[in-house]
Amino acid sequence: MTIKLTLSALLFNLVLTIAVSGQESASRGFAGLGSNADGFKSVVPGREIQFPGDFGPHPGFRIEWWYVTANLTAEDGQTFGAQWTLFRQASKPKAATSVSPTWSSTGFWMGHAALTSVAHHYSAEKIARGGIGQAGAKPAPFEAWIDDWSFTEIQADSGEQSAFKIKARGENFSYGLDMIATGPMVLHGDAGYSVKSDQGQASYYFSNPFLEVQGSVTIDGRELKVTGDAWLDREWSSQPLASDQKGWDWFSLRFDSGEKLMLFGLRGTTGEPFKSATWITPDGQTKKLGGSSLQMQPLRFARVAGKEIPVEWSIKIPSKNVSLVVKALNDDSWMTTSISYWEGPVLATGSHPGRGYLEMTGY
Amino acid sequence: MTAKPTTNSKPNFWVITGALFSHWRRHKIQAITLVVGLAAATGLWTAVQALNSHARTSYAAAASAVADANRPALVSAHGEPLDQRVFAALRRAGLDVTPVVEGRFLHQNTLIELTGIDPFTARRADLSITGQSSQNGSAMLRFIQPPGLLFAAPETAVLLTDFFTTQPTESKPKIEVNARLREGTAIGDIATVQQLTKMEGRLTKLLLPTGASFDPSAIPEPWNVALKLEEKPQQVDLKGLTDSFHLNLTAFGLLCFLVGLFIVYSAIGLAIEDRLSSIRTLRICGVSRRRLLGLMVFEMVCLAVVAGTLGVMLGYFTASLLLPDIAASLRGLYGARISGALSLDASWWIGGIAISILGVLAAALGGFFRVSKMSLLEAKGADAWRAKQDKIITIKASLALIFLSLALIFYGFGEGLIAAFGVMAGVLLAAAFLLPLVLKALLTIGARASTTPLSRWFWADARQQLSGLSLALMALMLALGTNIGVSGMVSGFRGTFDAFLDERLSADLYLLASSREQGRAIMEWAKNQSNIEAVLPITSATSQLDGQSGSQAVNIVGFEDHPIYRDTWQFIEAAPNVWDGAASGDAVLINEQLARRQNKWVGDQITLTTDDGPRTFPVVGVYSDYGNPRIEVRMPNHAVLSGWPDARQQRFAFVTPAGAQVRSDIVRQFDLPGNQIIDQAALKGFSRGIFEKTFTISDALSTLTLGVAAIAMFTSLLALSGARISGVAPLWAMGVPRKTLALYELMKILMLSFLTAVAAIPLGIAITWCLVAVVNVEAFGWRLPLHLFPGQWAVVGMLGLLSALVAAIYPTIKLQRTPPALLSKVFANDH
Repeated sequence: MTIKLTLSALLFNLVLTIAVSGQESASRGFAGLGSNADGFKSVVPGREIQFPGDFGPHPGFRIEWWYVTANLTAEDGQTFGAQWTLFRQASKPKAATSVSPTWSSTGFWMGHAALTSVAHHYSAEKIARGGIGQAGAKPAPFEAWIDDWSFTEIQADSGEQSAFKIKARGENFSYGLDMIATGPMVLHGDAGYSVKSDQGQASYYFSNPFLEVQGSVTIDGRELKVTGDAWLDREWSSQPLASDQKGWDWFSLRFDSGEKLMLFGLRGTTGEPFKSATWITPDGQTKKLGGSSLQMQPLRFARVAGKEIPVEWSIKIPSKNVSLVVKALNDDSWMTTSISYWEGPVLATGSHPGRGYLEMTGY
Repeated sequence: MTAKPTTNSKPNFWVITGALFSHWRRHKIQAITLVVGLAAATGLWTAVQALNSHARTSYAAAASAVADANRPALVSAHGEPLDQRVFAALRRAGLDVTPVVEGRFLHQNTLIELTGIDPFTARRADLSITGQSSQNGSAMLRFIQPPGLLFAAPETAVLLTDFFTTQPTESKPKIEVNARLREGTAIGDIATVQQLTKMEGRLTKLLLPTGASFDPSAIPEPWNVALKLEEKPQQVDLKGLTDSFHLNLTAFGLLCFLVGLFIVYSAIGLAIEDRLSSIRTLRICGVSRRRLLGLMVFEMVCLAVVAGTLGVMLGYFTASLLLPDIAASLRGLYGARISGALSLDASWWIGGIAISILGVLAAALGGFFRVSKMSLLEAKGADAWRAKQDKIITIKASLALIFLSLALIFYGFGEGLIAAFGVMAGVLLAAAFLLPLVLKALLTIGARASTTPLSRWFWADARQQLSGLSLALMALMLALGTNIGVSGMVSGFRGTFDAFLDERLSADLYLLASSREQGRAIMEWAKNQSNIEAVLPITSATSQLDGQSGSQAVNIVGFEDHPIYRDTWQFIEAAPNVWDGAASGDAVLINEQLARRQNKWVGDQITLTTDDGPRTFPVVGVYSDYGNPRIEVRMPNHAVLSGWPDARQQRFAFVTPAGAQVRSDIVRQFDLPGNQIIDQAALKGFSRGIFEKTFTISDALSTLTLGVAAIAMFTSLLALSGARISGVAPLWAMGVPRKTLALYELMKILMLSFLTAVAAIPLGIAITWCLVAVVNVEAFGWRLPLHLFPGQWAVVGMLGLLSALVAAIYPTIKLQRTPPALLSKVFANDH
């Protein structure tokens, strides 16, 4: 029991550490992503993205994540959104040399999973340290995991194509989804070098927005077969945000036309957000779109977790004749994780109807 | 009388209310005693309720904490530490395990136990019980990153600091004091502790989530064969005993309430009696009976609200004075720090005041009835009262008979706790209502034995006073009876508990080996140790008992025939030469729980399912097994192993004069976690300390009850003092000095109190019996032996007399100082 009491105190510390950084995010950048990255590797232009190597971890960099968001339709017609995320964060540059093989690793892993329906949004979190196998990632065959949540490469039925499986569970929900890539990987920014601020902060960033999904979700004890489409993101950096940036609004949209759009705006403490987008054709060709050609405007705010969150947006890209209204499937898609943020499925109407995901941090 | 009615108008509300309340203005001491009495009763009730509910809430919180100490865990099936890769393997298989590494070392002859944990997989739900609020966020990183951080109890922290300064160690973690930890223990991150204890790559165990049922088939290969569920060392289950104590505290609350009601009844009855003339005047002035009664109810409610408010405050104060003891007991029991602050929420106020109002109204019911039936022409005074005395005593005696019959019916036919409380309430009320009859009989005997006129007057006058004092005397008897009853129970509890600990922990050290092999190694090792007199294995198995209601799981526990058992074990029932019979292996000893549930006693037979099929054993002894919820059979180890060859053989009792030395030798030699070796002296001292604190509370409450009874006596005497003047005036007129008369008065009160105290002794014994033999058996299935403590009776009796003396002093002095003019007036009024 003495163990237990101290355990509790320690847990308290942990949660507090994270909660403090979460709460302070408005002033010092989301999860400290804008703080100094001395000692870690820098993100530089011209580095070639490599497969499958870059699917694996990059211990020299401070932060990276594996991200899957899926828009799903159940056999009974209900729509769902599913999120699977694994973050790796090193607390000290020492970790840049290698992922330590013991408990005393300076690398930490955090998993977030969520399942969203029109009526509910359930989220869950797992935290682990690297080095003892409880959480990790490896490039070939690709696998990323934390406890029994996993994102793994599987054998596709039709030879060449990449195929993956994601699974996760939390209180009131679980899912297991098989995903087949029907298109190529796409590189954002300049061949994967994605600039995040005018001061030059950047990350390496690639996606696969062409994933067809089949599987099942269980919500409130009820299991449903689902089909749909998903978007995979890989991104790593050592200092992706400038010190005056406090959060972002990030969209991944798949239109009925087969075209896709990745769009983000990084909000600073002053001035216009730093905006960037990638326009993806149905065959995977990309076009980088700069800030001046992008218009993002909140249309409606909802009170979520005591904050005013823009849950409906107007997005206009005149050069592509895009004029959209993007609405949350569920206004309450708040991730009640130790670092809390809004992430949920959205529907696009207007010039390019479609669906996708929206992530908003730093509110 | 302040009302000045005119012929044209009926007195209005304020005038009548003023008239009623003016009584209290003129009888300030009566008003104060009534309010104080009522407040004290409400206070006592509130205090017991507050303590009980606070303790219960705290127990609930603490019990969920203690669950962790007994949290199920997976350990190596072969006794050695676990490969830490098992942790990730199980997590990836979806099992929410959290790793623990334990190690120990000696520094300056003190054993320090280190525990390493993984804060990431430990449960977040645990946060709720810590109540911490000011932790530094960066502490987490300091905790998990080299050189690490160790939390330790204050003295241990000093030792550790010294250790790391003086010893050449690879890493030197920082030390932080945490007063909530047990001395001799320190906690750090799993990586820190692995390194300090040379356990890199290895774990001691994996804790499983509490509550969830564990399915061994969920363990993936190849780990499924390497792991097993950890066995917990057998502990004396204190929870059963504390539950019992709390139940008794509840019963005590009931008694307090009854005493309180009697006081209020007595005080109000007399106040109304005192005011009959005012009331008659009001009626004659034209106030309707209904209106008068309504206003009297209003008056009583006002008094009850004032007294109830005071009472809740008093109760809160009393409870908060006693709370540190409860908090300390809980801390001792569970190690959990509970809030020492009592919350006083709205429900306490409402509850306390409501009890006060209900009590007053119930108590005043008789008075109201009198007022409603009152004839405007009824004669005033003691004559009418006396004329009714015999009738009232008869009515009370009949009520006593009814209550006694109810108690018997509850005892004979009732089942469960409610019936048990019914028995107790019935006995109490019966005793209370029987008291006037008993006292009257005793006084009659006294009167017959007396010869002089003055002594004959003394007895007769005491009889005359009986009706006025009977309620106060009943309250006194209930208070004394409760005192005797509760202290009897508590002392019996204490004695039994001590004897039980001596019996259960008769050896000097108890040890749980990590495996059968380690157990054998320890046995071998112990043979060559000169300071170990004997090692007694305790085998154990689980079997089925064929009983009345089908088959039932039963624990089989083995013993080695040794004088420590023969000398210390006490039986509830035993055959002659019980040990010889049991040691042969052909007969068994059973615990009280089995005996009561299956109705098997010495001479009966029980059938157990052995590995070779059912086997029948005669019962030669029934032993008490307080706090154990399970049924148990004891037989010699050889019989256990012949019936159940796979029985566990990992527990050992050591007989040694050098317990501490042997303990540290074993720890050093066999690397056994400290919590697998129990030092009986330390455990006994610890357990006794806890119970002493708990007993303090009931002692304090007992004394307070007596104080309330004294207030009741004082109130009654004061209310009677006016009437006493007419009683003693004729004697004064015949030449008996006032001083002598006052002395007689005092003697009368003391004599009545003494007789009441004597009558309270059998009542006290009956209450003790109800608590240990009825309430406890219904609640827990075991019976505490009934012990009698005549010394205590004498003390309680003296306390009773003392309270009566204190209560009687002022009214007696008042009588002594009655001006002769007032005494003469008695005769003037006669005409």
